[in-house]
Amino acid sequence: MARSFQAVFFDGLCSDAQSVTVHLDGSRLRCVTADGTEVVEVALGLCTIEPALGHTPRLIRMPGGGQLETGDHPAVRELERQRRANRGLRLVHGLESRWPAVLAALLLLAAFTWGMAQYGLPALAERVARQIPASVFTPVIDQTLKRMDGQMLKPSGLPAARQAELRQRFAALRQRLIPQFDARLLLRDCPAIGANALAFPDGRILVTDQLVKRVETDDRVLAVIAHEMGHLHYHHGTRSLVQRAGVALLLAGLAGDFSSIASLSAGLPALLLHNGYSRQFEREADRFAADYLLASGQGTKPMQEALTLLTEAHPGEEAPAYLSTHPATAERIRQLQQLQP
Amino acid sequence: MDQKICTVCGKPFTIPPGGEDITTCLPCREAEFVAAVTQEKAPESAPRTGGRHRFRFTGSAGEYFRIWLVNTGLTLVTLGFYLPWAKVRSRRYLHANTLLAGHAFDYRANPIALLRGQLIVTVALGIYFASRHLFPSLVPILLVVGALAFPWLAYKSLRFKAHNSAWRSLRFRFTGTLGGSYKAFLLTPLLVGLPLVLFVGASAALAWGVRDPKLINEQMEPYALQLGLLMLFAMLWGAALFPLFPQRKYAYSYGHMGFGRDINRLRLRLSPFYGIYLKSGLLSMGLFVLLGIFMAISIGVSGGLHAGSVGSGMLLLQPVILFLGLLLVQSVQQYIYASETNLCFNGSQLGPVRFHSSLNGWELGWIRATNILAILGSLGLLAPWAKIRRIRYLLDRLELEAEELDGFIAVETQEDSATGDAALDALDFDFGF
Repeated sequence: MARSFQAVFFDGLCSDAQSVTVHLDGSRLRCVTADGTEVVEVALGLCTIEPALGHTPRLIRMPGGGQLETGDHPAVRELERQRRANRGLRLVHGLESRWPAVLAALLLLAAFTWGMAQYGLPALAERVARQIPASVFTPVIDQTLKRMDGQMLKPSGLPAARQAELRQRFAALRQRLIPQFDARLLLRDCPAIGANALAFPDGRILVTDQLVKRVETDDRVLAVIAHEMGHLHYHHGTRSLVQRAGVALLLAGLAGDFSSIASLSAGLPALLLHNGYSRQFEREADRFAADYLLASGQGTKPMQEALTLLTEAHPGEEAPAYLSTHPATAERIRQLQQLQP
Repeated sequence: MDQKICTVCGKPFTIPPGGEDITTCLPCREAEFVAAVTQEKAPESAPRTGGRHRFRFTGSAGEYFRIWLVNTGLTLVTLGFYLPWAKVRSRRYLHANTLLAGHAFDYRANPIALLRGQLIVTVALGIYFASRHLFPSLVPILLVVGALAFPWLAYKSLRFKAHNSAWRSLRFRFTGTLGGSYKAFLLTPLLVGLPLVLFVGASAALAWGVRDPKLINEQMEPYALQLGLLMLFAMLWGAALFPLFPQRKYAYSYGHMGFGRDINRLRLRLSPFYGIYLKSGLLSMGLFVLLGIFMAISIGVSGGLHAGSVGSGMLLLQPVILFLGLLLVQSVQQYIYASETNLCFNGSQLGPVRFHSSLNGWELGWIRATNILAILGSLGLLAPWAKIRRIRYLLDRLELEAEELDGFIAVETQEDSATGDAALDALDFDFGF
């Protein structure tokens, strides 16, 4: 079949352009100028046909740096078919050219992103977190604590008897709730953090003097500790690390080639996602503590009281829900009340 | 033999025998305008562009949006492995729609090369991320390794980008050396930061082996004056020498760009860089004072509304203020970018071609700020539009001055570049140069 099309030929040696007519003779391309001189003849099998892209001119690259450029899309499509070239990207071009396909891709993208953020990443993070032994984190946490012990953290000022009592109850609770962890209770005086408790992923739980004084009774302190043990039980620390990495990768995939500006704009969604995950973790830990409290016959009362007292300790600090790492206290207390039979 | 004169470029050319049906102007190749006119003499009214060439951008936001969306979908579905193909398509689209004298630019990168570079960067970032959370003591070592590797990566990336960009089938090339990259990206920053390094070193030496921060303070107490003076000197030295860093950086990246046989002859003086950084310093100070006033007023107002509880007002406003601050930083950055790009292009001469870039920092800053708002407001869907908008502006402000754009000739032998190809195709790293 003989077919010809108009094109511009570049020899790859200088920046001059030549208008040519390209004839396809069998499997060879013959480029002839308007005055009949043959500029180049080359086997089609040696050429690379650049995949179609939007309405941009088609390019056929020849061995040795020469190149044909043409606006005759059907002719090049035929060459492509004949050579069975670019089959995958021909399909991609087909999708790119049709608005319905693009809209379908948009829906798919939205569904995929939502599904990944909602289910995929958390499930993946959970599986990964299970594989990581808690002891991996010990050196980092040792280092962090050592740094903090000198500056923010001071040895606990609680009476020795109170400390011993808390430690004893802590040990019993550990045995009951998270025997798989080598959990230890760290009591510290810390005006900078205020009334607070932290669970480190290797099993250590830090409780500040300020918290103990604020919530007063041991039952309430233990309820808070049970909540922190919930974080350990569900590997929340590790999961949040893995999810952080996952969100970064997901957003990098979405942003693609939009280097600086997109990564900037991606900061906000990343923050919102992290906070969302964090609130989910808090609910899980609340639930864990509530299960313990109900099973031990105390009811969720101590936890509710502890939450109320702790919120009063930080007045006016509650950020709008979407910007917060914790659910609103009122919501948490309502949840706890509902669990109470 | 016929003499024809093109109405687009205004140049006369001779039609070869038998070429009567040529409808495209050969010198300027404005094939779309099919503007050759048979005449004996150039008419007085023929628009002569006087050797000035503008860029024309023919891409559309709609088309780019479709390409972006389909390719992003494929990237996610293939768990990221399609990303290099997506990048090549996106870049090729932007290149192919940038026209100079009727001919488009070309992006020829091999996606596999991109994939290789991408895997290396991902692994490196993964190691950094993991060690930050698991072995923090390794982080300083990794940062030093990163600083040592960066010039090599920059060198590779510049070569790759240049080599894979072409116009009229001639490739660009980058002739900078690896040693030059280390000078520009390692030695110059070290020189600028030398007293700072000394200061950190002295402090570290004094605190060596001491764990307790109280003891560290005691240890440093007697040297407080010396350390303070060193710090002050480090700041003054850094401020005085800072413009050296961008100047060396651009001298390296622009000064070794070549097209065909020609290498850019760049004249880049240091003094304008002082002007740029002085101005942008004052500019950002002014903008942040304004932001501070705005903050104070709004806290006052919200404090009044919330019956004196300053805390909650602060918390509500925090994201707004952070965001405004970010927009300001971005705009100042764009101002710097505009001024530096103008300097680089206006000081360039590539063979017979001179450049004229007239970017306006305010306009570019405005484009950046509104682009960020548009992208956030549209949940990212306007990102392709934003990119095209910025490219249009950048190209619109760049002009070429040359009597002739035909005279470029490829580097001597084909073999030369063929052996180079394999090495050049090996790696690409993205830094957004």
